[in-house]
Amino acid sequence: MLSGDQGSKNPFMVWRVNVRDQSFRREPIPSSWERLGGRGLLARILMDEVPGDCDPLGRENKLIFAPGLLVGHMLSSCDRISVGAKSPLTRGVKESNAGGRTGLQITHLGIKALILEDQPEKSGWWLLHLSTQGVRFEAADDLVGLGVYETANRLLARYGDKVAIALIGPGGERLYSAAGIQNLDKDRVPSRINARGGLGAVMGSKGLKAIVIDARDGSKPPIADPGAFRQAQKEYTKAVIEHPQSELYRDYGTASMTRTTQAFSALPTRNFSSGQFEGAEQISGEFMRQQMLNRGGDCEPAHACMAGCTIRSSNVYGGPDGKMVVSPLEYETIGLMGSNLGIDSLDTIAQLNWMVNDIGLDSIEIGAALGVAAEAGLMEFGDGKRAMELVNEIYKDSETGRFLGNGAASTGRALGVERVPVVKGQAISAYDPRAIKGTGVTYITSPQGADHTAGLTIRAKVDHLEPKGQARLSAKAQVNMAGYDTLGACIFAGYGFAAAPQTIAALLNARYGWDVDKSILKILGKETLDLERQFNQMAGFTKADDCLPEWMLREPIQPINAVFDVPEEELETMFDD
Amino acid sequence: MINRLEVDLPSQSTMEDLLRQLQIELSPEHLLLARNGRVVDVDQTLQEGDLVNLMPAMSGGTF
Repeated sequence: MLSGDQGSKNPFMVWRVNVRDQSFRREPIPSSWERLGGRGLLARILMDEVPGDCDPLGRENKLIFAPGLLVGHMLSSCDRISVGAKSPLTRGVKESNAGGRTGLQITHLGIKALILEDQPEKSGWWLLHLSTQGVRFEAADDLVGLGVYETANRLLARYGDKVAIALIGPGGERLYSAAGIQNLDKDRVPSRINARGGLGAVMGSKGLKAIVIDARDGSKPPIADPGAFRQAQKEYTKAVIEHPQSELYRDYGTASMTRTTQAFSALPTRNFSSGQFEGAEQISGEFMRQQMLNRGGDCEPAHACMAGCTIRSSNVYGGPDGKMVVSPLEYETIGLMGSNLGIDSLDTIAQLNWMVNDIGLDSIEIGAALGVAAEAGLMEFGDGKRAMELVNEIYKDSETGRFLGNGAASTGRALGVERVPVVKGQAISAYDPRAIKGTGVTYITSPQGADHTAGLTIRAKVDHLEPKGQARLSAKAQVNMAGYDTLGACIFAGYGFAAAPQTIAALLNARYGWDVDKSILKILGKETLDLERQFNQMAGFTKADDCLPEWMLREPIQPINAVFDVPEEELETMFDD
Repeated sequence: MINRLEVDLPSQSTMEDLLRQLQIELSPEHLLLARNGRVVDVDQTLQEGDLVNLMPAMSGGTF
């Protein structure tokens, strides 16, 4: 029987919703889906049900929510929700995962995967209400055009404080390719975003403004061997807490990365024209922490986005008066909306972050788009006020706002800019690939496009400028990340698992009654990547798409004067055993 | 909070000597050591005017 527990109160099933006839079915889990979750399950479902050459905003694309295999028990940092579809931005396979409440609550309803399919015939906006009773469509025209924060407030008032919510902002309603899906964090702030690749636009194309998940009558997923699970959980949690990296993330958050990328000439500066920024200190994690301690009030240097997380790498950023501006303020935003725009004020970056959150957009993609716009002269690098004006254009859905809202590549086309930092149409993250070559390999070979979470290499003990060996390093990281994404584990939980690798198999076996061994992470990761590559092939991708933009290959990054020169032969064999 | 520190070391000193002088508690396996923007090992000899960065490292496939 599926999920390993006979007589379970909570047998997992596939929940299938058709947005055209507003029908809902609970279906048994196909056997080839049973041993997958999160990103791996998304890839499997896309391969089984979505034609690779479909229109991402059309009837045949499906928007799928799949919790990872370990989600449901508040295992530290392991309750993430993966959302996937064919991406309107990359036009390939897309998985984007987020923390917050959604993953946990969706498993408490016994949902293996929530599949949203087809497209409404008539105009009009809806929200889905999920509970143990099933799925209900409710009219949502009164929420249209509202920002994410206002929408979340109204939905919380209507459905109560305990619900989880996944919603889109005006960006998703307008089908912008940079639109994401926002989820409530454990404190009901709607800023845990499934950011990359335009999944918010897919949700918008299905006429859905929000998904409200009320799991109060639900229950935790059944565990085949509770004693063994508890034991493995203890070991894993101890490994996470004791790892020195956890303390670093708790105290400084991901912003601790700024000084590191600055040291390696990898901090994107002024549209990736330099790898070091003269204002790096003012946007560093150390500076931010001191500022938050000084300001007090709502400021929290450590914050958990998911209940039960012991790492607490998130934060609450407060302004000069100590009042919350945005939560979280993360490194990627600090890079792409800070140094990449020549902006050295965390207050400005935080404000920009709030605005893109409210429209419901990926801050990496919009930061890159603004960098391209600055290159074209629409703003001066360093002009924070002007950057806000341009984001306001996106709010207003003006002509300028539209190409910005569709991301960096769209902005480059509209303005005739060559220096556009994208791979497979998706903006490069805050690690310059010329200086961190292993991450460059990830950007070009990941089926997800330029995605650092698919396989970041910057903290590996290697010379990041040495072209040899980077391909293998990236392959190892990509397989592991795909594995963690399938488990529903936050990347930062990875240190705990790396320090106590036996706990992955132990947790899975205890939960599901399986008999897997320590190779399971790699097995899951490889299967996921294989499925994703197959989908991309069907979507028309070839090896020619695995490359950095031409201008970036030509132009060395300063001051380290490095080019991306990983040998082609190494790329070809990087995933070979 | 320390932003930047100037350190005097005897000539032919290595990264390891620097870590010892600074009384860094983290073991070298948890550290990424960079000299003038490039990752080096603990036995790397340092020279006058070198810019050294000490950063947290990861291992085990989660970088």
